[in-house]
Amino acid sequence: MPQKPSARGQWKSRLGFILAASGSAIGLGNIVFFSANAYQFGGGAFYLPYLIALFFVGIPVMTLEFGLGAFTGRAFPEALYRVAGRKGEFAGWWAIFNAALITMWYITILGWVVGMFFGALGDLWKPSVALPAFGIAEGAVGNPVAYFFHMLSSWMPVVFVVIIWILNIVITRNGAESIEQATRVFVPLMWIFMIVLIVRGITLAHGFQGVMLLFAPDFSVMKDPQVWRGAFAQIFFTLSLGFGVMTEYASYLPKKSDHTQNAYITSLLNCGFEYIAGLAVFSLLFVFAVVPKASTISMMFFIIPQGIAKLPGGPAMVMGFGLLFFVLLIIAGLTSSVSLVEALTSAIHDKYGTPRKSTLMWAGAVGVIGSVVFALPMVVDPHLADNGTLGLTLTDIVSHWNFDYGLLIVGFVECVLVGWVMGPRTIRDMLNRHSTIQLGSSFDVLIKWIIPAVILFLLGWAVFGEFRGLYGVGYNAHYAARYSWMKYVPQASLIVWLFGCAAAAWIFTRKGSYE
Amino acid sequence: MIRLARTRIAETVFRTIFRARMRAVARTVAQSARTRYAFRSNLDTSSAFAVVFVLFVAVSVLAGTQAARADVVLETRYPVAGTPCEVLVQDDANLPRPGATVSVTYRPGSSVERPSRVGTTDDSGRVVWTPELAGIATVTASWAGGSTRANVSVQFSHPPLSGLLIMVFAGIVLVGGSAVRIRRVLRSPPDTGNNEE
Repeated sequence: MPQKPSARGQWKSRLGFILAASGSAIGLGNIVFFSANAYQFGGGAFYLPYLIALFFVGIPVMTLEFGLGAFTGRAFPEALYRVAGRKGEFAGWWAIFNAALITMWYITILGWVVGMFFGALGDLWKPSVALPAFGIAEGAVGNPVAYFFHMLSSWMPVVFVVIIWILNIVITRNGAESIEQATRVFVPLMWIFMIVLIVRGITLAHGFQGVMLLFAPDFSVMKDPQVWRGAFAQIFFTLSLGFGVMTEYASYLPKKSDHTQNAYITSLLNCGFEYIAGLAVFSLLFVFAVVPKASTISMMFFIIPQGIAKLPGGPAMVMGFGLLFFVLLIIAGLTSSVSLVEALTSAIHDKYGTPRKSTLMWAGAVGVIGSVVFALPMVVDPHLADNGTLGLTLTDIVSHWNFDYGLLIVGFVECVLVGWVMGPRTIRDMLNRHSTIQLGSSFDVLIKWIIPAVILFLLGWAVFGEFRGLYGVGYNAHYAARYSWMKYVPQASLIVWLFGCAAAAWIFTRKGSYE
Repeated sequence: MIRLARTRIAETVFRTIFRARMRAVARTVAQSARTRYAFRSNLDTSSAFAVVFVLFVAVSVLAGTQAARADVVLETRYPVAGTPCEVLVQDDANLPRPGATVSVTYRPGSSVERPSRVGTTDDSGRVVWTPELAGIATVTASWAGGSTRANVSVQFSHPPLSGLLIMVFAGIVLVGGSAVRIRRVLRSPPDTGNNEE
């Protein structure tokens, strides 16, 4: 029997909820990816489309997801079931399994961060290390690239992946209660660490010039649709929308909470963190003349460590700030991954009433297997022309589908279901009853028309790009000589993601009932 | 949360490894040639240089690109936009490289990337460059059979007013906005209670 909402656990305070929700939204991408996007898309000029995207897409969808959780008091699949019946539930489960797949590779990346943390204790700061698995001698490739691939081509990340999964299970063991306990420590710590990095960055000679570089606008980019696309996609991804996580977290709040205000606070905290992270990253990049790359992996593992390695003050200073940076990444990643694990666990728990701890253990066991697949160290690209190892290649290609497309698809579906099946007015009236910020009819227009249109545009643009060459097929040239089967990986990843999630969603929708 | 964009470390790393390998070969060969020259003091200078030259040509052909490990050295580490600055192009032996074509790419890798030609180095391997834009730039020097590049941070001549305004505006909206709202939450009574109305 499904449990009553009141038996599902609750946040002890509104602040606890806000810390947990903002901790979920603030992840690895906030620390580095915003800076890469701002650099790529005209510095300060990027803030205009970014703020428009935040207020016209990000906050309304966040409010909608909070509203769904508060309205139903249940996890994402059941929340959508209440909105649109079985079809809604199917969409909800599809979102949950898409998020579960994301959790697997996300935790693998966190495992790599742990590996880099250990590297920061010594080897990472050497000029180079040998890459025996690639047949590359010491000195041929410089650090941090060499250390990263050295670590990736060993089995150590598998151990780190297991450790991260154990940490996730420990933190989510009692649901909202234990998550709140952890985020009350982790989220303030994350802000403190980031402020330390900013102070160090800005106080470097010419550090403030880096800040000016971040904000100095080049308005010529405004006519480039790629910049607008980048801003809207950035907002959608950075706020953790389309995972079902925000609905899940809001379901642990009383209905009478001020959910609209909560959506504003969570979104602004997330984007405020990106803003200050940009100060730290840009000051470092400018001082050491490092060119940012538009990839989270490159920024986290190569570009920023490259800057840290040049910090004045000797090896102790370099090691200290290196460790601080990787601890910051681990904390940011953990507060996000626990929300993903919680979304899956409570969705199953809500429907089938299975004991929470055993559900968590099963989810953890399957998750570990998935994460290990993404950490496989076999060298498939000995010249490092693309992704080097099998694990990194799979992470790259799978994440392209389930992150770049999956979240947008879920966002589109939830807007259509609420906008056209349930009617946005219902949820708006409910939210307005207890909110200090009153939503007007413009909210209905956004949910029904504008946001679905924006998401369709983003999806259409991305699909159009695939016709010029399916993502990942370009790697064939480098892999074919050694592993001819690798040429099927892009197509296989697409099929497994699309139909695998659909099959799992179909089974979970058919089995059992909420009534 | 995360945007795992294209993890194509691709060409950059590949080129780095390839060039690094070729440079290593070139250095070894050059070193061995120099050593031989030192030991065989009975050889005349021109013969020794001929040996080195032939070996270098061989390595250049093998590498397909650059054999020399040249460098771009700026008069100042942080040039200022609008202020002329001297660029010195050096070869592997730290000798000036005359006749090298110097160009610069402002904000490389971004959608506002802008290439610009600086000029050709004179007999002392120097050319004057007046940076047009502040920010990160890549200075490239190329000549027959080789090239080299360096990233440079160009300072703003004065703080850009539009940048300062955007910084303040975005800071007030994002950081200020969240701080004010959080303050209200901390002051408001706790809103926990039963989930059911």
